[in-house]
This record gives sequence, C-alpha cells and structure tokens, in this order.
Amino acid sequence: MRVLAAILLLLAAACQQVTLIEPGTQSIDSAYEVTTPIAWSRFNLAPMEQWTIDGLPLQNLRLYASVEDGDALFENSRARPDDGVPRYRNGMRASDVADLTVASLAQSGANDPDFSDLRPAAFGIRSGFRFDIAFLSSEGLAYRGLAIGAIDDEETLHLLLYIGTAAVYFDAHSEAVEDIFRSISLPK
Amino acid sequence: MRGAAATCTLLLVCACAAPLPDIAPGESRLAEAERDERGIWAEMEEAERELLTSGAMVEDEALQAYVEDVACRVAGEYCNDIRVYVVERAGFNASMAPNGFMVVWTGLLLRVENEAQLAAVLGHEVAHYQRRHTIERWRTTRAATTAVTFLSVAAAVGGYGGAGSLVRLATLLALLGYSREQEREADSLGFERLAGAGYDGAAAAEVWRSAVAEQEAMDEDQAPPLLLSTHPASDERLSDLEALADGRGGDRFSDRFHDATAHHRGDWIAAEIGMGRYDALDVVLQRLGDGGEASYWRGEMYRRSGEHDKALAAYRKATASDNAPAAAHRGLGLTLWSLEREREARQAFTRYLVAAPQAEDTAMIRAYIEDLK
Repeated sequence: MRVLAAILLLLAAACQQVTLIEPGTQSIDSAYEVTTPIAWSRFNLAPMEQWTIDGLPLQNLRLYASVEDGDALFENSRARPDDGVPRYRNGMRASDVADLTVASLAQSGANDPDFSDLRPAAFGIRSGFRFDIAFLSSEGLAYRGLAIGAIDDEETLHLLLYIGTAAVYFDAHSEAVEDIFRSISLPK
Repeated sequence: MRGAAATCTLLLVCACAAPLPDIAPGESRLAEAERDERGIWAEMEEAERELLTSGAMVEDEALQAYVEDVACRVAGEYCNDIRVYVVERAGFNASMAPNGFMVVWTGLLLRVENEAQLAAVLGHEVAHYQRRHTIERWRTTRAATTAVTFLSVAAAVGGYGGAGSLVRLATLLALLGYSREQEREADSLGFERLAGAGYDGAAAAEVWRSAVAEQEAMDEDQAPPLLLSTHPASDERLSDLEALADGRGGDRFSDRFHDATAHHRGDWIAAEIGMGRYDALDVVLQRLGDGGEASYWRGEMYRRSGEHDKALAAYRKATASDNAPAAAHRGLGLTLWSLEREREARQAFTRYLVAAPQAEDTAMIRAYIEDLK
C-alpha cells in the first residue's frame, strides 16, 4: 500500500499544471484579486496555488483563498511518522493563524520554525494581519517568509505566504511581493 | 490475502533467523558490515550525515552534553562507540541505528519525568545495539523481500525532500521494528545497564507504561507513539520489568534532569500542541500537575481543540496562580472572545498588555481590543 501511495504521489506531482502568469491582475479563486508587477510560474495545488520564479524550493508565494474549517495549509506535504496535520478551524484569530502556519511548517519538515512581529494590516478593504517567518529546511538551509491574511465574515481564511531562501531568493523578489500585498482587492 | 501471505513468509523467516554475536566495543563499523549489509549501513550513515547539517539538532550544548552523559552511563563499554544527537522534534521517540547513531527526540525529554526514566530508554536502545538487533531484522526482512525493494520502499515512503534524514531514519527503523523476542532481550539487558549504573530500575516499566497510556488515550485510527511502533509493549513485558525492579531501589536524579530540561518545556509543549495530537498531550500534561504553567498549557491545548469551556477553566486557574506566563491572559482573552464575552475578553487582553508590555504582538492585541469595542 505504501508503494502504491508513493507512486500515486509521484503521478500527482507529474500531472500538476504549470502556467505562466503575466504581469497584471489575477483573480484568486474569485475570493480576491492581486496585481503582480512581474511574471511568475503558477502551480495549482488545492486549496491554494503556488507561484514561483526561480523554482518552488528556492522561493514561492502561496495564495490561499477561502480556507474552511478543517482545511490544512500544507495538505500536499508528506507528514512525518507520528504526526497529526494542523488544520484551520472556525473561530481562529490572527494569533492562531500565525501558530497554525508555524505548526504546518514544522509538520512539513521545517526545523525550528517561528513567527515574529504579528501586527494588524490592511487586506484590501478588510482589517487583516501580517507576520514574518523564519525557519531552516530539513537540509539546514535558512529561509525567511512574509505572510498577510484576513478572516472574512463567513470565518474563511484568505492568506498569502511568501517564502524564500534567506541568502538570495527571499530578497530577490520581496519588493514585488510587497507590491502584491498592497494590491489585494476584495470584491464589493 | 497477499499481505497476509507476505506476513506469514516474514514470520517464518524470522522464526528461523539465528541470533548474531554481540557487537564488540570499539568494533570497526564499516569493516564489520558484511557485504549484504552495506545497503542498510550506507542508508544509516547518509541519514547521520544529513542530520549533522540539517539544523534539526537542539541548540543547547549543555542539554546535548547532559543527554550524552546519561547515554554514556548506561552504555558503559560502548560509550565511545555511540554518537548521541538530541533533535528538536515533537513525539515520543528515541532510536538507535546499527552503526551507533542514537537519536533522542525532545518529545521524549518532555515525557520522561526524571533522569532514571531517560536512562531506561537509552539503556534499552544500547541493548538493541549491543545485540545487533537491527541487523538481525534487516537480514530476515531482506530474505522476505530484496535489499533493493526494501530500500526503495523506505525511500519512497520517507521521502528525501520533506523532513529529510529524520523521516528516512524513522521509516527505516519502523520497517525493521523489533520482534517480541528482541524486545524481551533488550528489556533484560537494558535493565542490567540501568541498575548497574545506579538508577532506580522501576523507571523502566514506568516509562513504557507512559507510552502505553498515551496510546490508549488516542483514537484507534491514530498512529501509536513512534516508540511503540518500533518497540511493541505488551503487558507481559511491563510485568517482567516490574518484577526485575522489585525492591532493588536506586537513584532517580530528578533535580539534575529538571535543571537540564525545564527551561525548554514550554517550547516542547508548544510543538506538541502544533501537531494537534491533543489526547496524547493531555496525558503528558497531567503529569505536570495543575500549577500555573501546566494550567496555561492545558488552556492552550483546549482552546486549539475547540473546547472553549475547558480552556476557560484552565486559563482562569492559570491566571489566578503566581507563576502563570503572561500569555495566559492572551489565551483567556481569545477564549472569551470565542464565547462572545467581549467585555471580559477586552479586560483579559488589557491585562496581557500590562503583564507583557514588550511582547511582539502588542499591536495585534491592541487591534483586538479596538475590534471588541
């Protein structure tokens, strides 16, 4: 069964659709829009899509839309033996989402993940939150991250999570990501 | 049917396997590895190399040295052959690879209550190493499959891009889970090492009972504690360990263990909460009593699991004590907010800001207070 599961995982990975995103405005699952000043490659991995320029392991922007009660942020990661999967729950606040993100990173194999500077931020016209992230990969490579999110009236979570290697790839496109964060627009 | 047939084949082969002689202290690791063992040996050495650069090891030299010292006390003549790595990882686990590479998860340090219990687990692992049990299992498993198939399965299941070396090691060792006969042998030999080092032998049965208590608290569809996946614990084993310890006495070194680990306990509990295995964690927290710190963590656990009334009671108890973390006020505020008791939530958040004016999330908490007005 484990071999079959591994083969299915590999097949699923091979079938992921990659598309080019040109600079401009993109709708994220009709929940919100963002405008990117640069081009990205997009991978669809429900419940979110991932954008990257230099490759997913080097930097990626995860865009989650309408995460519901029971959804995992890192559903596609392979859980370590003996681990549960952290999940979003109705009633969570910004503090809980920061904790959830850190727990999800740990569950996916990151070492020593932590968040800092949890603060209020505008998510389009909605009051949201931001926080910063740092962790080491399983190979000991240092990563940095930025997150912005909001919880809507239906208690679903919208979250953008940008992660890149601390030495080079985080900084390479962090300004573009800040532009994307500022561009978030919610339907009226 | 096919799985059952394979299991039967494996059991038949296992039943016929001849025990290996003990590994000799100071024995050359690579020279000893016979040709047919080199695949598993190479896997273990690769996992060890990856671990050294992974950033997974605990950043506390004193704690690392302390655990090494405890391992050495029970390893005796094998002290110089064993390399101990304490890794930051939630979960009830420690493991011993056949090349002398011992991994102790911080989740184990959270669960043991004193140095004697820690020594009991480490002594048991050393006994598996001494008796070369992993190599025995490797030979019998290989006979039922093939070396290439086995290593391919381990790699596919464990993955190399996820949790890396720890997953690979855990998967390999889980696939090579010890037999009941090997467990009995490691219990007996491990007990001799524990008692011989001056520890209270009763600690051995206690720590295995703790693992069983966690397993019993979990839902049936949850995986058992990893330590039990590789070391099946039966009532017979636990009774035998208790009989061995009967009336022998010994030291527990609770203070020494507390001094080495207490300052990490909050981080380790937070990591366990993040994994969401609340039933098992509840068992762990019960051992911490019901003081301010334990009540705070109980509140965090209940709040994350959505049990708001229980969380409220735990936070109330924590904030009424003298030694509760300031974060207990924040947790109380979040819980009251979930219960739509906005005025009380605002008061709790205000108390948090007073108790922790330099906290990193003060701007967010002020925003919460504004939202609640």
